Amino acid sequence: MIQDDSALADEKLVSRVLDGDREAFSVLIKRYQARMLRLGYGFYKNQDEAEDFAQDVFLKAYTGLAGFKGKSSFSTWLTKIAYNTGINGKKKSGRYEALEAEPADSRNLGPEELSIRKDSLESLRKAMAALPEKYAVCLDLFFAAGMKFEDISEVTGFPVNTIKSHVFRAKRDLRKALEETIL
Amino acid sequence: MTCRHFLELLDRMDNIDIQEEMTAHAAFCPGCAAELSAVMAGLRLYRLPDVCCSANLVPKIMAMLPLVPAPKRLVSMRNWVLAGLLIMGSVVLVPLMSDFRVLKETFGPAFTIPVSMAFGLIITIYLGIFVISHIDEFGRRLKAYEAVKSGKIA
Repeated sequence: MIQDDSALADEKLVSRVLDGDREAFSVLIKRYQARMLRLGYGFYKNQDEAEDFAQDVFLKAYTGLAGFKGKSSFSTWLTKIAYNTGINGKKKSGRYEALEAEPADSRNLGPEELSIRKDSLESLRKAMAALPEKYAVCLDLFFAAGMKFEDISEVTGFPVNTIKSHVFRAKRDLRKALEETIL
Repeated sequence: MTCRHFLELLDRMDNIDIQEEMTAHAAFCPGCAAELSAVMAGLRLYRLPDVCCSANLVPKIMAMLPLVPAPKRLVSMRNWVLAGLLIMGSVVLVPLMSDFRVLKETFGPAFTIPVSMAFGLIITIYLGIFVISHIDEFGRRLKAYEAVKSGKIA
């Protein structure tokens, strides 16, 4: 049952959960746990608190699922809950930072790829550090989560043009950093 | 398109598919093609999941779900369908009842007009409430259908 569910669209899974199929929610957790943990690391910077954060976010999403109106995608809706949870977190450890870690599965990466990744990470961490604190998370949502400008604006409430200009500068710096590595 | 314009677009690009004009330019400009593939490789590698998902997280959350209020539609789809069938059944069966025939004979054929109007009103109210209470659900299902149609997900 769950193996089949893993290929279903988010909205279908939400309908199933609302119909009382609790197991369908586990597919959504598996699908978004990496993003939630990453955001948790960004806010709290340690594994235990990141996991508590992810758990908190998923439970909030579950209890409030009837409030998901489908106006934005489920991933945007969930990320908005995570963002608000992170921003309002009382034990937040300083400013939001991109995680500095090896990929969970780096077995298939060659030295050049690891070097590109390291340069990308350094460049984006610098870009985040240069921004006012509240905008740092926008870069992670764009570069790490792969979200669109409109969706980031929906999550954070910042104007699209503000996000665009921060991403523009960060991407220009990233391109220049990679020019030295690759080209 | 000039190389400068290409790089400007590359830096301003949203997380969407590359524009056709950019692909066309990169096809004959090796310098811009290299810049494009460098940025794409950087982003692809940066996006690799670097947080090892804890094996306990899913079971831990799933174990907590029975302890928190379950999300529920106000009225389940099954009950809506049953109510709809009941109304439709009444519309069909009531005119066949012997009491109805007696009333019809007493008040004449014009008696059926207010009865039809009453039935029509009940069905309209039922459908109206159904549509209003399910409009978000229809939106969700439409999005799911569009996602399947665009081939993003099964």
